[in-house]
Amino acid sequence: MGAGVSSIMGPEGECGGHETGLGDLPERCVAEVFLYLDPPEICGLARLGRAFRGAASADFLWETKLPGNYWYLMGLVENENSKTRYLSKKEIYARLCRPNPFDGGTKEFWLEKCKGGLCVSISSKALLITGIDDRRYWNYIPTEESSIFVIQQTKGIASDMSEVDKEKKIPCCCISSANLVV
Amino acid sequence: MMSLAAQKEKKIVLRSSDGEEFEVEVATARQSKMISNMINDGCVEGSIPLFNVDARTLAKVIEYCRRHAGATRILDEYDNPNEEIKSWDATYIDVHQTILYDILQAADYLEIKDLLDLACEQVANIIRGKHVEEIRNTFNIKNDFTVEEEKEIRKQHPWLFE
Repeated sequence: MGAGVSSIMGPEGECGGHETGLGDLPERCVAEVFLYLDPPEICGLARLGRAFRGAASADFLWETKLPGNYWYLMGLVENENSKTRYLSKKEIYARLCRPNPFDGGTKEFWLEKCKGGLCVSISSKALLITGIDDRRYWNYIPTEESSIFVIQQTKGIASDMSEVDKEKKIPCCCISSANLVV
Repeated sequence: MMSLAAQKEKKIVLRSSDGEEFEVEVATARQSKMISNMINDGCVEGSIPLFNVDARTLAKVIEYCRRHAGATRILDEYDNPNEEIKSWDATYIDVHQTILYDILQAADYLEIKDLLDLACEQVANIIRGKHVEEIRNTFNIKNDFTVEEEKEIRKQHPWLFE
């Protein structure tokens, strides 16, 4: 297309006439293509050339990758000097992909890198046992399964408390954004 | 605004960058937002020159617009026309890559959203899962970064690997 002769030809391109190649697409069109790719792929392709790097930073592209409530989530991000300066949508995505503690460090959320789904980890310390908040019946114990949290172990609890027991032994859990609104 | 019957009868002439003229129905031409705006503004007397679209590409784009202008009518008559048009789209866009890129740029220029989406998805399917070096070699994409820029960009996405 166009009058210019392309210097970039695919190996399958015919010799002679001008051929449009992937490298000839304008930045805006490359960004449109990136809409169909996952964030890690987009960031990898930014290394192809300047047009690709530019396209891989387009705000309209990253807006589609972010969850709808990303402003709310950014509000939960603690200790942020970035709050005082403008962040591109890509930077916001990167920021939200890191583990972000909230509620006094008893919970963490992060975005799954490929699909942008919201993941939440809840410490046992953020869980409550309704009605039996008595330390004679349970204790926090360290566990190798959890690097930052300890689990709660119930002891000597009557059989009618078994349901609580089960729940309390979950050191952390991942909940998809579809199930949990933070 | 013209009546539908009048639109069907009236034709519009599009002229490609290499001078070829194509006579198309108004409903077909209106698939392009750019041309639709020109029709609304009454700027379509004579032929419309399209400086960025050559004849080969324009013929393909018109084929798409004609099919989709017709599809709008089919939607009213059948229960499940989507599968049929999707299957037609898949066959239509299964073209040599050089034509694919031309179609993509023409759809962008003429503002034909559905065609742009279709072409972009096809390009994404071609490059998905390929390593950067593989894409660079396969599609002969020149690396226009300086050494410093390349170093910088390699360091840019640590969050992907944390």
